[in-house]
Amino acid sequence: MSVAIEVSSLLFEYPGVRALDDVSFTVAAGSVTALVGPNGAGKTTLLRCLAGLELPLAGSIEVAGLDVLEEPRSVHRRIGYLSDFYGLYDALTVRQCFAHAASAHGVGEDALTQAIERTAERLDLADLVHRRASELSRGQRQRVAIGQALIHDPQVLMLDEPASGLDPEARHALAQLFTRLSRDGMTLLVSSHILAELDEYSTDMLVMRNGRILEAKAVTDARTTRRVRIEFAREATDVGVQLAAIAGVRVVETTGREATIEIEGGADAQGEVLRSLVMAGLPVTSFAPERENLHESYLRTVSDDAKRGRPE
Amino acid sequence: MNPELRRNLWLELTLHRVVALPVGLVLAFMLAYSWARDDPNGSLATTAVTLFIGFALWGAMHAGDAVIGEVRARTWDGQRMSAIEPWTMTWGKLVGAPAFAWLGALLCLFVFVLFSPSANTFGTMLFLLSGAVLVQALALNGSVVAARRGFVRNTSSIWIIVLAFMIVGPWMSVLTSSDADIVWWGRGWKRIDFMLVCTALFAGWAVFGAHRMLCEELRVRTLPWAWVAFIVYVASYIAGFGIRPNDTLAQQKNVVLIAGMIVSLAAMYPMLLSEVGGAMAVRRLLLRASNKEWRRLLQETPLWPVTLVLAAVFCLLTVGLAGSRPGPNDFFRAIVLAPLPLLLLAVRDAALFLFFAFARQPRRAQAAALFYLLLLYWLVPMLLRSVGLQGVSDLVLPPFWERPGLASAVAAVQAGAMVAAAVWRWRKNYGS
Repeated sequence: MSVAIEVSSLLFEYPGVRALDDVSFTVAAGSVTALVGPNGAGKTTLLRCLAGLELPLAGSIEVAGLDVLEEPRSVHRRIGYLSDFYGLYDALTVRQCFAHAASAHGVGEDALTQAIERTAERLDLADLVHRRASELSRGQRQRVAIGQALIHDPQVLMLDEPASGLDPEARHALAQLFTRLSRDGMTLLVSSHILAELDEYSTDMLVMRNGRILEAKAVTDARTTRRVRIEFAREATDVGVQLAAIAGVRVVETTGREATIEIEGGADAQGEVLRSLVMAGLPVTSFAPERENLHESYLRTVSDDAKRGRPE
Repeated sequence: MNPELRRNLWLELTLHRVVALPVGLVLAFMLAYSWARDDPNGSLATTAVTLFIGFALWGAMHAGDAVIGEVRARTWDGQRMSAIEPWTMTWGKLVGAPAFAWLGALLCLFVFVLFSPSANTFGTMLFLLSGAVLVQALALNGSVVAARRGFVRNTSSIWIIVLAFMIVGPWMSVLTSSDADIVWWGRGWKRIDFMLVCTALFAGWAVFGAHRMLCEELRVRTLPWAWVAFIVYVASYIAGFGIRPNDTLAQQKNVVLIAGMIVSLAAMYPMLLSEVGGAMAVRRLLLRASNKEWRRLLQETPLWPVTLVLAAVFCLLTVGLAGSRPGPNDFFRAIVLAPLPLLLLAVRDAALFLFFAFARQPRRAQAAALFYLLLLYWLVPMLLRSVGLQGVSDLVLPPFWERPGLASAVAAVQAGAMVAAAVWRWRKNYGS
């Protein structure tokens, strides 16, 4: 697995506030990582440090193979960043906005037209390229801003609340775009409050709270937590005991004709457990793996952290 | 093409503006011609210069808005995130932001060259061009400082241009106050040539300063040698006016060192009051020092401590050389004893700023420091003297000209107390 972002022992302080506290993590190339956490967790500060906009107190940041603190200008050719509070040059047309963003990120004059057209198409803005930015709706402006961030085909794209201001249809289109970009090899780091939206395209999750990374994990793992809900045709005796006797099974709860268990392992392990239940003569009518979405996974991470008694 | 310049040209040079401006100028010059039929050429040249100055100042307002306007429009982060190099950004903004004003200014200059009755038309033209670049580059510097300090209102660029004019105006008026040759470094120089060279050199420094400021904004690390070189340059420039044709080498050294100290001290205060620093900067420097990252420490050191160190070097050299070889001139003999209390008071003032900056939630540290400096240097001593308490007044504002020994002792006590207070507050709020 090649690494697109590597952060080590990052420390950032505002007077009286430690915004980032010994933050270390890596982001795999080609992944779509959801950066989640409550307001004030340090998400925006982290993104701004990664983008080379803020100077941390200590630590190291490597993005797309370059040291952000030593070579910020070179890094900017390889990354794109959409700030939470972005602005557009209102008097310029969409085409001019794209042309400026592309040139400013090192796209040559010969490749400019192609880059503009490709970006306009990607963001469904082809019909609006001759309109001034000031004449666009909020959602259209948001798409122009995203287009400016990715027009130079960056290796790493970082977006702070990219879907705010977009209607549900545009959000869905954006999710599809992110999935396509990821499939093309681009690494995305997306910060958002709307976890349901991130759920659509994220492959990894980075949970932040109080300037610390609580957890960094693959969302696909979280989604496939092997919690399974079983229903029986009739009330069976000693179901709990029989379930617990199966290797790799942990019984969460049993109530009459229902049981919830957790299974270690993947789909094969699930099949094995189902076979064992049938062989044991249990009248299984339903065997349904429960899918844990990003929201539940996030809440569980936060809850586990609270249980561990870490300082808030 | 420079992306920043092109963006500015798109915004500034619309077809309507490019057509309307020459038409407007032609009408203005026709009016000037019709008003002065006895000396039409002179009238046209005067009108051209007047309009040129107007365009130059208007351009300076645009240069002053070049960064703060972007902060207002929330596009500045996008610019900082670009791969544009600092030099490209500097001249892209300096030429691009006032591009429309430059179009007007250059048309006026063309008219001036055509109709000027002056014998030194070319020299005057270069002087006007250098002056315009100087004011606009100063305005660009001001724009970066204002953006860092959060002064990004629409009216901020007007204040920037007023400040730039306050810096350039008196200097220009001194240089243009008579027709006599200027004596500088003991030699006579033709006034117009001197003005032209000086203005061009200071314009170069102002452009270079804007580049260094943008380096910092774009996170390109630099060492503070350029600032040190600028201070030494200004000190040498000012010293040149104090050196007379028959001065000995020792006297010349005295003048240069005193000028160096005065310039360093004078430069420290604007830096202290304009740079973003305070507790976080100190914390960062301490961390660099503990990690023995000396180069990075120098790169991240704010300019005011660099200036203070430079002032200390000039001060010690002045006192050391004066002690071994006092000059024959009474004035210099008197003031060569004064540097020590002046330096100590600067240390006190820096510590006063740090004391406010080291608050747990520092707010307006610079404004608070400025307020107390006004009290210490002006209001309290004046009040004490007005009620006849001269002795007490001397303890607040030590008499460094008249009694430098006493003044040094008083300033040392004040500096020591203020440094102790700043250290105490640091340990209390940031010691862990």
